[in-house]
Amino acid sequence: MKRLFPLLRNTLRLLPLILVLSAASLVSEVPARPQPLILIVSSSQLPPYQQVVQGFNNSLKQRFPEALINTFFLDHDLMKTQATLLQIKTRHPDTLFTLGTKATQEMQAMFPDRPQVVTMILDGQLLEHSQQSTGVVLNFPPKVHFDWLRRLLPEAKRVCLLYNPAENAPLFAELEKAAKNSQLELYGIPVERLAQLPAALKSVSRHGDILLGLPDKTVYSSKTAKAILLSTFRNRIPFAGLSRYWVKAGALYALDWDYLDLGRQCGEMMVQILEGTAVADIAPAIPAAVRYVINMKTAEHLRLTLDPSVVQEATEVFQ
Amino acid sequence: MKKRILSLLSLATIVCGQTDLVQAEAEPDFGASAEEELLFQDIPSVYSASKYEQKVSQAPARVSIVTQEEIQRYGYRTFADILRSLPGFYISYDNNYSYVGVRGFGMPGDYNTRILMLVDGHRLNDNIFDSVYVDTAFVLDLDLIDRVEVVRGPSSSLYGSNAFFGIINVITKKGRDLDGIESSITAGSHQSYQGRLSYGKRYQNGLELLLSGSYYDSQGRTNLYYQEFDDPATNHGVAEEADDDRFDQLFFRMSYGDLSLEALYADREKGIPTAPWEVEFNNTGTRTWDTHWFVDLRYQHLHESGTEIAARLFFDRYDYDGDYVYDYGPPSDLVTIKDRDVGEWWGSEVHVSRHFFSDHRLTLGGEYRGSLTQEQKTYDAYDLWLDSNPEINVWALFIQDEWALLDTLLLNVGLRHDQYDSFGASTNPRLALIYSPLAETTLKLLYGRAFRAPTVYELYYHDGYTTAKPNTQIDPETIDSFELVWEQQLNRNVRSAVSLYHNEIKHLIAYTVDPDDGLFYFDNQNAAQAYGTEFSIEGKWDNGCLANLSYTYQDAENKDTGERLVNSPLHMVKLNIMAPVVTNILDGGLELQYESGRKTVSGAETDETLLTNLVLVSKGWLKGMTVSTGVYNLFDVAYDFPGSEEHAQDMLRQDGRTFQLKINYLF
Repeated sequence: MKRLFPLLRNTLRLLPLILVLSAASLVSEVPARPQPLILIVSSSQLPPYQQVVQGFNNSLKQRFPEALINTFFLDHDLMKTQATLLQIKTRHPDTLFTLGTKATQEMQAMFPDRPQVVTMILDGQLLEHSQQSTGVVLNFPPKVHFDWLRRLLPEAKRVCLLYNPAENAPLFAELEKAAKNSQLELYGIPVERLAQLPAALKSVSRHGDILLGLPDKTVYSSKTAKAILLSTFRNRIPFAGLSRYWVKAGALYALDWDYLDLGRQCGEMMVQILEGTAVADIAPAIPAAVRYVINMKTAEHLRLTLDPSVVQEATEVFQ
Repeated sequence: MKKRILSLLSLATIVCGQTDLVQAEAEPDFGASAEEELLFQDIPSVYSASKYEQKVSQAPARVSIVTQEEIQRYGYRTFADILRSLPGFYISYDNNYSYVGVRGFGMPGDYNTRILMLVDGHRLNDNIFDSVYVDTAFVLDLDLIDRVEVVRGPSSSLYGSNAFFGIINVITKKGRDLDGIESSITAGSHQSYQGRLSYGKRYQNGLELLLSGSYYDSQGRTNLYYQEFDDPATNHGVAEEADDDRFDQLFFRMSYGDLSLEALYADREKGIPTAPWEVEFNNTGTRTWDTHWFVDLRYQHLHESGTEIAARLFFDRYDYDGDYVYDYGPPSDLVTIKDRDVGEWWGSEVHVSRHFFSDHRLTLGGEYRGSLTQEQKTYDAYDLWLDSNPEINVWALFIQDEWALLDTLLLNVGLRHDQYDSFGASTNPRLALIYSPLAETTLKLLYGRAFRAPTVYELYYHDGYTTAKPNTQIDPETIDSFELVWEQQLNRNVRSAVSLYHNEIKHLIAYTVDPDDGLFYFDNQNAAQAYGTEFSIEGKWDNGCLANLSYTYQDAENKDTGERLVNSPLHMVKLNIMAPVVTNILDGGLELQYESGRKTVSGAETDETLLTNLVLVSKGWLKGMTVSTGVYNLFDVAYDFPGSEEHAQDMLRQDGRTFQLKINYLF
């Protein structure tokens, strides 16, 4: 008992201090704005994805420096991906930012009622399926493709397109219309199955001044990449590839993305959501900035003389 | 010797492989599945890829492809040089024509009738001898070749007669490959000169044009010594200035969309120093002229439904003139016996391909070749001995199905029926099972039958019954071939192929002597067979290195007597290495060819030989200019090929060390 009295006495002496600190603590728990939890889930750790994440973070932090951001990368290993998804499931995000089809589909299923900003996808339907999703799709509009084609290869008139009608008939119709407006002739060559590709490529060599590569699951895959690149290379048909990776492998050029800017665009969408705009009111967008990469070794093989400004302005030039 | 070659390849592998390690790409990340995977995964570069790998691995045969780059870098001078570099192929030369031997069969007197040669799909074998030329009489300047596709094994199920041991399809360059004017000048040993001027362009309206002309002139070897003629009456066995060679060639190709028109003209004159057929030795009047021209109109269309249609209409003319100087004396009475042969034929072919039931690709086709002229004349100043002009037409129907039994298993079945005016019908099948258990591995089990129709020359030739007589009762010869092929991609840069084959030939048509009257004639003779294996390993690296090593074992024998066939080396080893000597400035091409001895007509055997060729090619000195210089038979090895029945020489000595300098300029 004797020991208890000194403790009580000291506590009473400290009481005013405790009261002051408690009051201060109560004041600080009332934030100026709520501290939102944002989950970033990416399908890949490749540099372009990381740049998008960086651009997103930079953009978001300007308006919401206090936002809590948790970033997850899915792995190509199924077990690791499952483990990551279990970890994500324990979180209760306010909003999500997803990169790539795999991450987007997983998050749409896991948090169907949470607003989601999406990018690094080609399939715009992913955004249509969910009322809570918006974002920036990677596809450039047909006009953008043709404008750049005319600038890079002004002499090319006959543009060949390999596509599976079951998959891309609407896109082909859209391209056909845009080609006419750009005074180009579009030769669509249907490829319904992989086995038809060799004949289609022969037809490209007879009819085309250029092969325009646009995403089509039947035509362009890791299985067909070599055949397409080799055929266009051998037949000296310029090939507008799908990305810088295709250009590095031998395509003449490809439109490319400013990944930091893609992140910035998505960051701005996220800011709007956090400020209270309904997702339904934020229309999906296309990339605001267009870049391109070219392969000079291929240009030399094709005996093409590119305008020096075209070479200078390219984001990347493979020699 | 083998050890030396293997060491060299190992060295090439080490040198080139190390560079490749430096340039190796990071493994692609497949985390981004779905569509965007197309955008962000690494793709193998076309610059290091084997350009026709897919074509080779999916074909129902063992296929080799020689590209223009290889033709240039190894400094090949004739088409025979290209074929000689391939596993299973060998060449012989009698100072008039070069002859192709395949898989142990290179019978003397065969004017290359057991291979089918195509130029852009157009059949080159003529309608008198069924022959094709691979020497300076070959119809195209080698600079105009884009690539040569060599398909081994019987292919009569698609191509009919002559596709006996294989087919050789020469794919020419397109106008876009030149995109301007290109010229080349060549100078070489034996006062040989060659010039070419070409123009090619693909215009903005889609029209594409290639026009080219070439000229070649060679004095040949000025003094050729033949022991068999070593007599004061025959200039002590020395044939003087009788080896001259000359050709002119024109090539035209125009295409617009699905239509293309191709025309070609080639004539060649060659002096014959060997005095065959007992002609007067050391007489420059003995010589041959070969002229071949054709026009070929082609239509290819890919219908929206996926149906491929190809049709062709063509006309060919071939002229063979031969002057053979004989001394009818004593007293000396020099008379020229003249062969004047003219072949004219036209034809058409159509084939349609379409996919059915998702796993079948069916090809149906038909072909007609009508002879307008098949004239053979032999005469001298006194007599007309041979004047024959039969008319043998042929039509054919064929069907082929490629059936994907599984994702990894493809069955290729083909059948063709040919109907000849002469001997009747021949129907030939082909079966191929192609199994790819892994992306890097392909196994092929092949069976095929082919035939060769007797030629007009074999059926009707005689010289007034002086030394030769006709025989119109010859049946087609046939071959049944069984083959197992294993193709393996060892790593990104190196691939290998092994094949084991067995060929059974029946009713072999050969030149023989009738013991009753001592006259030469052609007839179906003994059966023959061959067992063999071909192994090759080839590598291609990003830094421009290319190496190819092959070994061939071929045991071909007369089935009745068990005797080894004449002109058939048992072993062949070939090594080709191409590497930059000074990056972007100078490339080197080294070629080593070993073969064991060949049995001659008399039963003797030629010595084994190892030939070395070295070529340096420079591209970087002046824009548009390529300079190449080559030394052939670098170590001046003395070697012989077997002579033929018509030669007094059992063996014919070949060229020693020779040189060539070539300048190409693209304006």
